[in-house]
Amino acid sequence: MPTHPFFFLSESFSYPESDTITAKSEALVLLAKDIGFQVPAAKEMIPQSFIDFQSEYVRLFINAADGIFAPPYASIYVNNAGILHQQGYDDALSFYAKAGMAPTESEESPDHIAHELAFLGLLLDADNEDILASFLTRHLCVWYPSFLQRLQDAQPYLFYSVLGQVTDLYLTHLHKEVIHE
Amino acid sequence: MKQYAMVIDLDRCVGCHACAVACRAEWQVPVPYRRNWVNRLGPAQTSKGISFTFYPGLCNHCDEPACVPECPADPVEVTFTDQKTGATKTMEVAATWKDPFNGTVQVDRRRCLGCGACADACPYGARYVNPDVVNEDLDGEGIVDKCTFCMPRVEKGLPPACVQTCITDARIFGLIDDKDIAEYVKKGAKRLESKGVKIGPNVYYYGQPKDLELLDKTSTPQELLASSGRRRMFAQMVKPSMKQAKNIGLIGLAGTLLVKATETKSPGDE
Amino acid sequence: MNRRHFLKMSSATAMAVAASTMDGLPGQAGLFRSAQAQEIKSFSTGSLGATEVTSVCEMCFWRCPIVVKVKEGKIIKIEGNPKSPVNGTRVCARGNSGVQLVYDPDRVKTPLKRVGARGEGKWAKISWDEAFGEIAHNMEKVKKKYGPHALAYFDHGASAEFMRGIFKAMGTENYTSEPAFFQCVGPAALAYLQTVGYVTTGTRQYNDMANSKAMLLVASHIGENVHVSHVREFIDGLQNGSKLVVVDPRYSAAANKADIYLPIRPGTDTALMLAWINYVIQNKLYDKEFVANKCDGFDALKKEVNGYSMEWAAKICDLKIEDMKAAIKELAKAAPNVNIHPGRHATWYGKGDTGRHQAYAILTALFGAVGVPGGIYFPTSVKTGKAECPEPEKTEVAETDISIKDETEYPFSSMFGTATRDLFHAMLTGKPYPVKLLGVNGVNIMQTLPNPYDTMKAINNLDFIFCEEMMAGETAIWSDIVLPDSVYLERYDGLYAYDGLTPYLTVRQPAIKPLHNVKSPYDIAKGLAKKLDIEGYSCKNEQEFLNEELKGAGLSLDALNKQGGLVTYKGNPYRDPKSLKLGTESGKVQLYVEAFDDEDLDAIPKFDPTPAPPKGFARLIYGRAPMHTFSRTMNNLWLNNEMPENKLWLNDKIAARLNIMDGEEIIMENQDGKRSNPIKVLVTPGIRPDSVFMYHGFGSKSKHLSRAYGRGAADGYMMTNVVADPFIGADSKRTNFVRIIKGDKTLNIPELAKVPSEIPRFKSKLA
Repeated sequence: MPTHPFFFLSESFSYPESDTITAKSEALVLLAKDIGFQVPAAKEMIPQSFIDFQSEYVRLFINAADGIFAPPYASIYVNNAGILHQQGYDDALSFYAKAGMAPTESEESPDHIAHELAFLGLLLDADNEDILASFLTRHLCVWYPSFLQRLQDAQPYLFYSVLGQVTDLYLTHLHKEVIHE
Repeated sequence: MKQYAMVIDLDRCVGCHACAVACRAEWQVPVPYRRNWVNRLGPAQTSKGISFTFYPGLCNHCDEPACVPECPADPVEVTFTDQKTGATKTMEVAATWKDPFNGTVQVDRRRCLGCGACADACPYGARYVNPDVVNEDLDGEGIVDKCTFCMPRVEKGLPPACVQTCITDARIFGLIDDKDIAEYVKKGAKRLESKGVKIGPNVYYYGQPKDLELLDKTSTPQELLASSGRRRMFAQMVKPSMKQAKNIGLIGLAGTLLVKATETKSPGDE
Repeated sequence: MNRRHFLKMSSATAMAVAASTMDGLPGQAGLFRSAQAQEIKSFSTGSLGATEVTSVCEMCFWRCPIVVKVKEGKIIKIEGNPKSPVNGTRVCARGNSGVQLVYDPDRVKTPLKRVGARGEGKWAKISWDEAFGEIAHNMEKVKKKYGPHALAYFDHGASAEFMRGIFKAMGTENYTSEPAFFQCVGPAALAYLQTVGYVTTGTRQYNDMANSKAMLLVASHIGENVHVSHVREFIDGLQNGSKLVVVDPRYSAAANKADIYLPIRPGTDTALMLAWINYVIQNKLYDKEFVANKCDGFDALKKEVNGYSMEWAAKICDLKIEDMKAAIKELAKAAPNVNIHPGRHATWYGKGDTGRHQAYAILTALFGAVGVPGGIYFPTSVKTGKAECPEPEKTEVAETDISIKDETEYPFSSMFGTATRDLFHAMLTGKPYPVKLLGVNGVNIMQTLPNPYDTMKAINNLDFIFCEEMMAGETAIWSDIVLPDSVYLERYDGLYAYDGLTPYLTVRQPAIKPLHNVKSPYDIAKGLAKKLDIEGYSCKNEQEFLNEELKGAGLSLDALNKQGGLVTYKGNPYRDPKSLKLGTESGKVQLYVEAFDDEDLDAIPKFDPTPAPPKGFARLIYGRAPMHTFSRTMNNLWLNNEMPENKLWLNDKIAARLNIMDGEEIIMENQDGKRSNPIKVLVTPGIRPDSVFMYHGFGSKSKHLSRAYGRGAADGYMMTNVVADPFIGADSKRTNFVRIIKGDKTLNIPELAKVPSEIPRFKSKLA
């Protein structure tokens, strides 16, 4: 059983391979409630069909008819680079290395939001507070708001809109605690 | 003093923009800023017929740069070394200066406040301020950037990136008295100078008279912008209070710098 | 930080529900493994100190040898390969921008399946196995239902070769319909093949500009059309004192460098050429010895062109007779070291395109400029081995009673494949048989063909369409399955043997591992072949067959890399005119092409005018922008920044009459009432009053290409009047006319250049 929400958020930002949207929506509602955030009922977040849900993910995060709406990679946003494998990517890799972790083989670039949230989870598990603090302050909390803006501008399905906001709240909350240490 | 210079031969240039993109790639210049550009001119009527030509532009590394005196950063003592002879010269410089040995105008990115005073002062628009990078310890607003004549490459014996990639060899780089460059100047290569702007730009343009006429008409600046004291003042005001104390002395220092600069001029220069 | 404090905010219930949605915690934690903790120092800016991989560019099809600079597994910069005899350390703006293509977030990242309507761009992600399965299933289904010829392949570029084998193995006769041929160089290739016995102007062009004493360009805008070695040869020629004559309705970058510029009325180039040929014959300016010994059909030519006087041509072409004479004298003076350049893109007016190129070839021959410095030269082939393993074992075209290639109205098309026009006709009408499945590789199907409205209809008639693509452009949104192709910087391809003046052998090799979930063209073909039970594609990987082919040149990949990734050979471009033997049947230049006569086509070109613009309209002409390739690069961040949109060049006198200011935004309306995206106007004296000009490739209608969408206008969407070339069925692109919509006003273009009565006028319902 996971001990904190970041693995869940990470998973939710990955491509939905199997239809667990109902349970995911419920978990999201509970997580929002825990942090004192009002969200619509879980059933309103469930799209008409699972294929619609998958194609919404593709539209937002992979390839879309209006150009990819919210590329979920740090590299895009850090220094406004606009392409992959730039400064934001280097920064992510150097944080991982510093923490003694390396991304495993994956078709996703390691500066993908799902990677960064999972990394956060692992840092929490490992009580690696120094790196956690600088990772949030100097990296994830720097680019996440620009990504969230692009996500919301795309007028996504409710689930992804709520996911974006709940992630934002958890990041902000954790960041505050880190700074107050 | 030695002076690096560049000739751009418009008879060879086809306006392919390779130079502008190679520069961006070499120095990771973010869009939409630019150190190096190509403006497409015409086809337009000139007194000598229709011209369809190009303005490949970059920092002119001027003899008397309008940008350098504008920099409000605290001067520091810097020792310059002549790459060829090993001779040294020590000067007080702000965050931008003209190199006493090779004549290039350079920026110390680590000391730049990003106030933009130098960029405002350049009549050729050759500098930009990137607001996405800052020197945090200086409370900077960005960092200024411009063409360096690719000195890090030149020091390794490589041509500037724009010169190396030019598909028709239209860009010729070297010291102003090198044979290749001197010959072009002798046969009429022109600088983008006007009555109002005579600061000795070191990029020369050669080409058909109609093309040089269109280039001059569209691209030569006609007046130097008044010293943008406002931005400089503002930059000084926002410095942390501790540094304010130092700033009081700045006027004095700047005075010294001027004197020193005059003193270090050797008779053969100019 | 107090970790327990943070944990309080998520309740056990929430976590339990969350856990139920996941395959257990390691699912996400498994994105990482533990490693030695280390500080990574940020590396220095600039390309200094980078690792170097030699390779071959693919930002356009010219394929310059390059060096890729890599730091920490990232591509930093691309430069020319200093060992290359054609470009050295140089690459053009596009070559420099390959970095942006690799890292573009709009690349196709994974196989996609269409889940919305065709053209909508609504996709779900699928695995490679599913993608191959879907394609194989549909290929077999269509083959079973309609026969093998219902499958067709439509391709361009280096990625396309491996997949072609699949279509051959399926038995279809429609495995090559390259738009690069049928939409571009086809008529020119045919004309030269029939006249001088070899294709001097196909993918490669054997024009020795550097050593010429005079050059003729007819609407060829070298410099704006950038193939590095060509541009270098062109500029070298000029710097060596070669005289330049440019014939073009538009004042191109090349025209700016011309000694004599002839702003010809569009559509009358053949009239000028025939008058010049006649003038050369009448004034005995031709190479008598070469004509007597090496040309067939001179008397017939002399008789045929006799009527084409300079006075007549001056009126038809709207040129000054003294300029026309000065130009032909300048060219004749330089003979035999004179380059009559065929340009590249030949499909202008449909009727007469082959004849126009025949006229260039004839003039070349009259000047004796064959196999001599400055003229057209001969290719030098580089000897390599041939590996069998990158292909299927069996490739036999299935027997058929009705063949598109037999039924075609275009007698010379089958020499080169299936005419694009015939293929799309079959898709639209089911005649002579239905074509129901299309594989598209490296082609923007909407912008390559004129009349995209018909293309959309044709696609909607298909049972299945799939594509292999790097960027999800217009082709991808119309496809049922999209296969993500690797970028040229991530893969091997075949060998690159250059057969020009300075021959060389080089090879493309990956500088980095492929990003995302993409595959190389060889692996894609191999994967699909397996699903279709097609035997072959037996090489384990690309290195295996490259080594086998290099063995034939006494090399291996390692040996080649030790020599800087490229080896050069001695060229053999010139021939002694006395012993010259050409590839034609007689071994001589055919000034009179009997094969054409056999098909009731003109054996010697005639001037058959293309209709002039209807009243109130101007002819739409187009050309290349130097920093863009077709419509492929408009979304590239760096290239987009250099030229984000195209402008409509409008004659300054016309603009003054219509009260249109430079930079003002207008809409074009064509002769059939089709309207364009808004486009800004460039007011200039550099275009004739009866024509407008724009750079090609802008104004993508694919909403997918985020930066390119709606910037500038697409010429293709204005091309609803298409005329077929009677020889190979190539589609005309310069037979469309536009007027201007400004605000809510329709503005007719006033006629400042009078049209002579010999030229008919195009009839438009709107005029």
